[in-house]
Amino acid sequence: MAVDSSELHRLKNQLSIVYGFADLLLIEMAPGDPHAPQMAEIQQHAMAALELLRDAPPNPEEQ
Amino acid sequence: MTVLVVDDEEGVRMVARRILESAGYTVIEAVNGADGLKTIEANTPVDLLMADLDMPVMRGEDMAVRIRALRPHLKCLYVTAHIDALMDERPLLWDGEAFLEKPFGSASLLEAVRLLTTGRIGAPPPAQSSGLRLFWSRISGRG
Repeated sequence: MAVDSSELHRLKNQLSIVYGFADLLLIEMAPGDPHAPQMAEIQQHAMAALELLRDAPPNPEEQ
Repeated sequence: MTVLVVDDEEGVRMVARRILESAGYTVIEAVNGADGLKTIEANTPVDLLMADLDMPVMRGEDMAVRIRALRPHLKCLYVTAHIDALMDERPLLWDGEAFLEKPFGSASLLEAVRLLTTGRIGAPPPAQSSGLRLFWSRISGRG
């Protein structure tokens, strides 16, 4: 699937927001909160998705 | 201390506001570069500009150049998801400027803001704060 640069930028922004809110929630959680591991997973997977997008080739139709 | 957060994405502004307000900063938001410039032209007191570089209407760096012409000593924190391309294009930073990579978390944003506003670095960043890790390496690599 070809994604143009503006759509890629918007997608990265959305994932950055997920990452940022997960970070905030992790900080605000009490020590030992049972939801903390799942929240950490959400944050890690947002970062993993961003790293995949970082390596995405440009859309040839834009070049 | 007041931070003007300029980003076209509401969620990014919300995250930045929550982080900065939790640390005692006052936050003003602008939805794009033109809006940010208008805020400064209205003589709103601002100590630090936090600007997304990739915005429609007016690019963040264009806005920052115009704002710094009005307020040469205003500290600027540029936020971008494309830091490597940016640093290739512009490897040196002026005094009072820094880059922070998206995604940012609380630790990386607050350290960047503190470093710019006080010149001091607090505790070392946690391993997961990628934004700050890059930010520090760029700063330390200036020579």
